[in-house]
Amino acid sequence: MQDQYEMIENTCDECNAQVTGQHRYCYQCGAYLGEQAVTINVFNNTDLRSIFIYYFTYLFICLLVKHTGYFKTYDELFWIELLLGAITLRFAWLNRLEMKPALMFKNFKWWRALLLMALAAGFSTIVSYSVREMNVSFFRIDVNYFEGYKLYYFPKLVMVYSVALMPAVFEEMAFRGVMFNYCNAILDERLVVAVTAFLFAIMHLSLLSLVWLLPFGFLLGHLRRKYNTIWYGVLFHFVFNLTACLIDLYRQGELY
Amino acid sequence: MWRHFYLALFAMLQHMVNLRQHTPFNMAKALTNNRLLPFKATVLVNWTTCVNCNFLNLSSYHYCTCCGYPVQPNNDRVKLYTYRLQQRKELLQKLEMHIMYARNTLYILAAVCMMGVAYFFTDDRQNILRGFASLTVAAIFTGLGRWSLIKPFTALLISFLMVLTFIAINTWAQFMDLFTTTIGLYTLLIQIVCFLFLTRGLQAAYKADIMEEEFKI
Repeated sequence: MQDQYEMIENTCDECNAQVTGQHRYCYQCGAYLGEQAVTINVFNNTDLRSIFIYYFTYLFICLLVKHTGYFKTYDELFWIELLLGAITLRFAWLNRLEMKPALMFKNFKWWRALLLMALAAGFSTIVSYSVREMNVSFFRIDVNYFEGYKLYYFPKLVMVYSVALMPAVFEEMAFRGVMFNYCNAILDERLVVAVTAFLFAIMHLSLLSLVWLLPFGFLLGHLRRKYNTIWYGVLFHFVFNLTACLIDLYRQGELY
Repeated sequence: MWRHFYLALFAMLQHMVNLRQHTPFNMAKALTNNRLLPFKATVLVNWTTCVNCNFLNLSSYHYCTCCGYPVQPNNDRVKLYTYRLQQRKELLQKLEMHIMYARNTLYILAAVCMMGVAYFFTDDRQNILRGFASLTVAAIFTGLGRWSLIKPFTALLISFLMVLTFIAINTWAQFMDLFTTTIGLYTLLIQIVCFLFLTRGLQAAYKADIMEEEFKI
């Protein structure tokens, strides 16, 4: 590799002298040879461009769902979920070499997973009850997820699939998989955790939710960074959302 | 007799140890490849050390290939080197100015969001939550502004994506109002200005990172 690097021959822009790849300054005229680096545009960076394209595609679809009247029932939302999943899988496939280690179960410990699941259940309970209290006290509304799924066969299963399983798998693959790897190519790993946490939080399009989504994103990013796998994050996210579903079902009297 | 024998043996061993210390063979390498090979002496012919960075250059070179300082300094070459260095430093300062503008944009946005504190003094209970959300966003923008002093590129990248998301949400949610009302037009203008300052700041931070790394080498 080093030999190949040394063998690359360039020409100095100012005096046309032949210089090797390891030279930072021209030996003939003393001109800086990395001058083209200064003219590099941030948007010409392939990884950054991929981050922007992926993030804004995701955001566009979320805004389409939130601010248009076309996606009122789960009939339409089902296809949106599949579309988001397909986009994530497509980017994961493009980035498959870096994704592969993150999808492995290497060093996966069940006791650690169980501990995280317990933590997720506790965290979700606190968030669910706090959010409900805030909604009732300030907005005089009580949001329930189950109502929208009552039309379908096996509504509880459909609800768990839609609210807990799909977001857990694909959001984790999107933010702690694809985005994490793209950011990792240009940033320090600790900073990548921060970037993905912020993007994950604002993608939910709720200002109030930033309060709990930011620490949630930081924790999942930290798990991804520490254990180099997305599966702890997927489990944590799944149990978090599942607990929210169970609390919702319990309130509706549908749990038993 | 045995005593003499031991003394002789001890002297011989000590001699061997001394010999080993001055052996012309690379013992560390010999342990790995099981072969004793003599050191290869590299004779540095026609090489000159740079007086600025101690990098080895061929004597025929006019300038150091690592730092650009003249290998055989004369007045003209040193002047040219100083001029080029000055130019690069000025470019870096210019980039830092753009970063500062982006940082100030974040502080201004934070200050605007801070005004949400007025919501706490209204009768509507929903406004208390709005005030709380505004203060959270203000705290995030202030934190990102402060962070851009240490890690400009990361902080501005997050800010850029956040602001762009907020712009996208606002444009989407109030698409008609943006183009048909005065407040909408002002909002659109403010959004474009913020976007421009942050984009230029992000670009500058990216270039400045590359240049600073070069300076460190």
